[in-house]
Amino acid sequence: MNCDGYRRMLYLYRQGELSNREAEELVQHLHSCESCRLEQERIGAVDEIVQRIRSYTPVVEDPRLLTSAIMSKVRSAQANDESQGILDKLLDLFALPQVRIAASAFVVLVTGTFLFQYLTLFTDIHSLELSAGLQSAASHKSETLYSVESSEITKLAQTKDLQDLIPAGQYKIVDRKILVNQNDVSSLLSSSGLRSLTSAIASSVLHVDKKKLDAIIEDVTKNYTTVTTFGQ
Amino acid sequence: MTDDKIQELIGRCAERDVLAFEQLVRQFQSYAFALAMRLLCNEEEASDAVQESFVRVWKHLDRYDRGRKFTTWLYTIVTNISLDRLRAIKRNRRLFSSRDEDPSIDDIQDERDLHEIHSNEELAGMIRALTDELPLKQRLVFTLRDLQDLSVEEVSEASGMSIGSVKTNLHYARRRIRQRMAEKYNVERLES
Repeated sequence: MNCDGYRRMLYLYRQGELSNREAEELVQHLHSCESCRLEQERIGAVDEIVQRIRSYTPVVEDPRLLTSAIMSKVRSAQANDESQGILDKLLDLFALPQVRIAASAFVVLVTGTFLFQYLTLFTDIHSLELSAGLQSAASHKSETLYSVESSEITKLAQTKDLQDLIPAGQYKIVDRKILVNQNDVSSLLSSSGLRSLTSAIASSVLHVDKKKLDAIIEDVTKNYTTVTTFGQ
Repeated sequence: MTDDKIQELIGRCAERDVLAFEQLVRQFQSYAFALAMRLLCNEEEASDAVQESFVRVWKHLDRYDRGRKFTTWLYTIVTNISLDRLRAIKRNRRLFSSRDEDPSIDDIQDERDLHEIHSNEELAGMIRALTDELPLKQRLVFTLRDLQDLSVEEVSEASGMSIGSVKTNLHYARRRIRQRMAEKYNVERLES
């Protein structure tokens, strides 16, 4: 090895930086090389300065304040971890098969209940609409044709259509006439029955205007007309 | 504090015992501060780095290998955080050049300044004067080995460098410092 190699070793002078063999070689070389010994002295001078710097340990000005600042940040980090932890725990819980099955069953139950209620409500509304005679004109479209006269309602209708409009039991059909029980007239006229009937007529016979219908209703109501004829 | 006591504290910390962690902080904050201060040469930066380091220790305690010395693991964390800060400081310095405010070897007026250190500030000035012009790796290795007095193996672990790389960087750092000192003071042998 030449002097450059040994000088490199000179800079690794502290314990544990050179192997025993390297250290021995270096010592032997220094015995015989004055120039490397001079370099060793120069390095030693700088090392003294470094030792002085090393011997001064930086001091924490206020250790309690530093501890307090650290712990404040740690507590804050812990609080964040805990809130994050709850979410993680929930996610972990959801990873369990039985929890997943239970959650799925719950979702199916809720959805089913909602659909059942919706359908029930829809059916009820439909029934109410039917009983109130609010079906659309389209549903009445047939070859049925209704006509109206001022003091009585005459129509060419099929019996079934009429049955849909006036609740069963409140009338009977004799010789193509609708006979309404005297006791039911009042309620029938004041309730939706007659209005349903006339509304249905109005929605089917679009050219019958509302004023005319109202006049019919008023007429019927006044006279308690109980007979309605219907044609073929 | 004995190794057993330290391990017992770490065990309690792993179970999120904040009081145990506070004991650990009290025990090691000075060591951590000394290293951060020697690397960063600024009390405020060092204090911030120590706080950040202990928060990281708390968060990642589950990653601590009980087979290693706790101080070595702590040094690794303090070193990484300090290096990140040092890089940021150097970047800022390049952006907002303030070379005039930075101490250099020229700020040491005479050889007497090299003899006595009485405060963190003086220490910071001295270290910066010696190491400020060193590349980051050399500065790190020199600080850990020659100022913090870690073994070569500990330096290797804390810096993430191989032992060979530690020795090479150490050799270059010492040589560069010696050359600078020789140029400035013709330092051959100081009287003690």
